[in-house]
Amino acid sequence: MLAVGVYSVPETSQHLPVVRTLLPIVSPYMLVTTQWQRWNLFGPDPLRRVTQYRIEVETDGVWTPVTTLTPATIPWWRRGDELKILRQLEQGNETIDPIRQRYLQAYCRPLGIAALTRVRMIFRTRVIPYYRSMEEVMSVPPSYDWQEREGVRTTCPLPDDPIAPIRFL
Amino acid sequence: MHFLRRINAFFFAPRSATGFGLMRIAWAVSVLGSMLLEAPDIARYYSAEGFLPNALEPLVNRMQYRLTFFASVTDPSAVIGLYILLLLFCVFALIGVWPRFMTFMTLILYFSFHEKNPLPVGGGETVLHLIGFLLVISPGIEAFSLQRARKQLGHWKQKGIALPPLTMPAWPKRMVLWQTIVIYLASTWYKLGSSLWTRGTAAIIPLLHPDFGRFPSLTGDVPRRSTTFFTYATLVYEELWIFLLVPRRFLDRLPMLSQAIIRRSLLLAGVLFHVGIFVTMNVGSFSYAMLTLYCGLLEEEDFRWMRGLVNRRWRGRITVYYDGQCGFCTRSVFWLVMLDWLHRLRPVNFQNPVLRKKFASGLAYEDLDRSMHMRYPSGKTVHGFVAFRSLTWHLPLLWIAAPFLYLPGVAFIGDRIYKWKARTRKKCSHEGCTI
Repeated sequence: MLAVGVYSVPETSQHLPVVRTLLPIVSPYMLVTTQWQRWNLFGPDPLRRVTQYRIEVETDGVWTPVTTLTPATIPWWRRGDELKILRQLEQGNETIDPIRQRYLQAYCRPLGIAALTRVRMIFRTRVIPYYRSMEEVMSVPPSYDWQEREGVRTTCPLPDDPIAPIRFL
Repeated sequence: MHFLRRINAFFFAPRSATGFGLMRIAWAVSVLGSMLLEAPDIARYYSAEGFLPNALEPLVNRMQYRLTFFASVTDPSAVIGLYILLLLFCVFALIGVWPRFMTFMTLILYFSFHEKNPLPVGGGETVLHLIGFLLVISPGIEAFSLQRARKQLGHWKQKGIALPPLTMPAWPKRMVLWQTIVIYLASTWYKLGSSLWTRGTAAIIPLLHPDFGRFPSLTGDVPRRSTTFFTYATLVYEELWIFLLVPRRFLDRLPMLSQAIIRRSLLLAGVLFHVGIFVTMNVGSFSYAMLTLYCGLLEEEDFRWMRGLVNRRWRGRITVYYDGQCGFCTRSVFWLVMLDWLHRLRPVNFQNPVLRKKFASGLAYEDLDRSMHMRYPSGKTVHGFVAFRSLTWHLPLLWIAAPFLYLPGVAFIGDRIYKWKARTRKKCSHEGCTI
């Protein structure tokens, strides 16, 4: 019970002497028994960044959209998991590029994109306003000021490359 | 010595194990449901052909203090084989065949999948890990299991009554309560580091976010005006759980309050809270994982209270007359007693002349022998298929089937089947019948 309590302390408070002392002791137990836990769902702040994931192919030097992954285009039985994965891939830095590339390559065959075609995923984001008061909640409209950046670029795999394809498209 | 007795009572006093049996079932349903939804993507998430092969795992995963079969099992067919095994173990844990062993095996595989690829793992899966761990280490998880039913049937055949309710020591329930409090208090601790929560405007954000809100474009004036209420209500609700750390003997002195009332109120509010979240937001398995955790907090007094609530306009017992010399009849009534969660039935073996005289006055032996009779507290007597059909309204697990038994044609067919079974039962020896 002590281990659960200590391990659940938010990172911002892990400088506390008791937590700093006990955390290295309880962590192995918590990790091995898979009791690791962080209860920061919608905390400190709920996520305000809304992202759409657009897949594009390059043909004769021109990038053309093929599909966009949004909650509306992903079937409900895959929506939760896929959006969680996409958010994690978006938030990581360039060290996880190899994972992003393999993730994107899984879309090639289901989308009928030929092998060795260059593909990329564009992260298209907007931010829900930071409502400082109820007056702003009632009066400030949602922002549709989209920003775009390239998330990852790769080439589609060869037919005999072992990449498990996406199945929900 | 007094202190040691109190410590002993705190951790080892016997408590009802019914809640943990329900938690085992709800946990298995939650794990089964969430893993079935992943079926199309098992190879993509967890095998060498997926987006996270072993070589790339260190980029997102800790490599220490980790137990997973998928460090060595990487072939997609083998991964899918382990996935099918997980589903099978889960089903056995649900129905209660070797409940502890199957729960353990389900948990080991469930851990393995999520330790291999933590990217799809959210708060709900984390809660399910914790519940699974508690179920594996706790005694008394076999309530509502086939294993327990077999013991019950043996006892029923010998003595004509069910076994006393299963009990367990208090410490697993203390751990469930502690874990629930940690979840809510840690969640509030995070939130209080944010000005959106302290300003009372946080609750609208997830509703407007397309990833979470089920109806982001429909979030008009009413939900917006309710933002402050729901923001602060969330914080207050999560903080109220700390009252359950106050020893019972202090709380029970408060007028109109007791630990039982506070716990029940928090549980009821929690059901509304998490069902409300589920209806308005997509947060994966979190809502039903928390409702599963709540099952482990239920005590015998809570079941008595729920029974009292449903039975508040009900008086007396329904006498069910059965042939104690017929194995099929005895087993059938056994299952009725097992399903009699509202404690409304009184089974009477009409072959016992003392019981027949006491409870079956006005009913001829030949009529009782021809078909199952039931007598309501009002004196009304029904028999045959009609008796069975009316009985379904008193057995909560059969409520869902009850309306269908009134569809045209069902009574005709049901009556024929019933009469055939009643005739052929006489051809069986006591143990020679099968249901």
